[in-house]
Amino acid sequence: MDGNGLVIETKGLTKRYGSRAAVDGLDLEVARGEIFGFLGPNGAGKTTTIRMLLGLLEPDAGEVRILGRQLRRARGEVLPLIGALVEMPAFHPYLSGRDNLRALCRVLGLEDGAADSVLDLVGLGADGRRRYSTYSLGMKQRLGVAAALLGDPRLLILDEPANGLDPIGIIEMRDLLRRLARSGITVFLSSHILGEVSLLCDRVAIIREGRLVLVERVDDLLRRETVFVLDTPDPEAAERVLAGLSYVKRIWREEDRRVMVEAPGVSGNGIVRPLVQASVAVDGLRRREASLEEIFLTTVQEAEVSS
Amino acid sequence: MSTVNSSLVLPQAGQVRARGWAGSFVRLLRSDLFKLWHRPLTWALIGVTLFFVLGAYLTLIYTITNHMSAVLPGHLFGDDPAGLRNVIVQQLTLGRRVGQGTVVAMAGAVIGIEFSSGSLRVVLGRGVRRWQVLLAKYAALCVFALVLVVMATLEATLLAALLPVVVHGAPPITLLNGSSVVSIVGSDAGILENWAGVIALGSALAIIGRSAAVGIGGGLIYLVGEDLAGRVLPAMSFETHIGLWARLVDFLFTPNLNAFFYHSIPFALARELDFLDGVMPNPMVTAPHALVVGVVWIVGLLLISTALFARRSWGS
Ligand SMILES: Nc1ncnc2c1ncn2[C@@H]1O[C@H](COP(=O)(O)OP(=O)(O)O)[C@@H](O)[C@H]1O
Ligand SMILES: [Mg+2]
Repeated sequence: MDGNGLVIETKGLTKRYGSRAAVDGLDLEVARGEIFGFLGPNGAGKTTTIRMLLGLLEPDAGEVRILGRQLRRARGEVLPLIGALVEMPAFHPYLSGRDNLRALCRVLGLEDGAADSVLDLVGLGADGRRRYSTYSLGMKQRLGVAAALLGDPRLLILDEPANGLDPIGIIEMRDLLRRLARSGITVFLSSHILGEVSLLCDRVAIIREGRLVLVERVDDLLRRETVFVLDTPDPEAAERVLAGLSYVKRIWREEDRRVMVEAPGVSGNGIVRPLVQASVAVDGLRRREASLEEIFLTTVQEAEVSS
Repeated sequence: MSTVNSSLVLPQAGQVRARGWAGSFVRLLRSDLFKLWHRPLTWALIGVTLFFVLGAYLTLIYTITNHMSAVLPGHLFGDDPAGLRNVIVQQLTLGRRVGQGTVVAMAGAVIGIEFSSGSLRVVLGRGVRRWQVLLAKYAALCVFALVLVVMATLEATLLAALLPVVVHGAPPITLLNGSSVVSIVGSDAGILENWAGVIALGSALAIIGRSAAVGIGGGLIYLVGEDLAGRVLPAMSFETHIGLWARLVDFLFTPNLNAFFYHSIPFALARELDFLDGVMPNPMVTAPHALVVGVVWIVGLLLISTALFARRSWGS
């Protein structure tokens, strides 16, 4: 069925609203068993893309293949294999969370037991019998993920699943998705926050204004970050030592004892060793967390340089 | 040889497809019935309808105690099988009026909640077709209407059985015979046809207005307006002498959604309850004509709203 091992494949996927393209010639490839992050700022076209992946929206151009089959031709066979949470979770307010899932079980031809097991998976077991209208945003989000998990889907598509979750909820969600991926499910999730997916995803695609900016392994993406954060009790001495290094482009102070060092193409060693040799104490060194905007800027600059 | 093969294979393929289609329809219907069952509104509306059947019963008691001749043999609620049947059907006619509101509200609410909650996405994302979703909802609403009419009939029968205890000389329930049962079931059929039309109306309005409020409000306004128009329009056509208009009104409106019901209830009741049940007697319209017009309206409304619903892209 999925000959080339790709679970999602889009070619030239395009959706226009009026004269503006919300999604513009998108080519994506997601391999089986991957946790794939789909990143972009608000309005970038993530939800629009996901709607097209699920056949909820007709593309104006391009095609979608899921598990090797053309979505347009094989909707009926392909879509039942996908569990999805699109945009905000959407359930009947007057039913309990559990009854909402039981209603879905009937549509999918599953036993009620399936509802209870996915509720436990997402940590809603204790609140399953409360009315949906009394749920917090985080609980609604979990219920949305639970619904997506009904029927053992082979592909999970989640639109901003961390929305509304508290920090502990985000960690639990991350653990859950990792466990699912280990069991062979492919996970495709969108987010507008790089930090949210960098700990979880194998690869990310970044889109902006409907266009693909880059697709890269997360490790490589993080290594692009050229600014180091140095914590030291003696910032003046550290600045003096670092200023003498040819590969350090820029140095500035962010807090009293925190020095920022821009040094492209250098490992952490290249910063720490000269400091230690000069007997400057180092409390800690790490790469700064890259923001999406910075990645856009550097990518655009690179594109300009190479053209 | 090859012709034999293909004739063996093709029907099988057809059967498989039919089973898949029917299977998914049955699953959707079960899901919708499950949601109706667990929805407080369902029970509240059933309660309201049954309460009005009780109201009709109390009116009946009041009428009889003020006109004791009504229970004399040969009279409307006389001590004979026809009188007993009339006692039961009279309660149902008011039940039908209130039930129209109940059913239109249920239809508007069931369809409208899909717009407000967006919960349809979850199902559509699993490969179910929009028109299948809608068809299952219509079916679930018809099941609701059927349950409601059965409950109202049982209540009316039970109250009729108690009537001799309350009013001296009222027909005892033991007079219930085959022909009165046929007559009661006939009026239930008239009620169901009428409610099916109301389901189509409420759903269509909810889909056009994309909200439960439009379905419920619009449906109720139409039902009241229909009563007024039923009196005004035919009069208009006489005054203006526009032949085509008069014929159109005669063909499509005078035998309105209530007309088949009018033919399905006992003649004596239809004449007596004219104002209470909003049914316009029209000797020019036969029962089959009324039924056909009702069915044409229902099918038309269903086709339009299903087409609209199927083409609509969801959410933002
Ligand atoms: N139904 C619609 N009509 C017009 N514009 C839309 C519609 N849906 C989305 N858009 C526009 O398409 C762009 C992408 O939206 P969306 O896919 O929701 O972005 P994201 O999910 O990445 O935040 C936005 O500019 C949005 O305003
Ligand atoms: Mg979005």
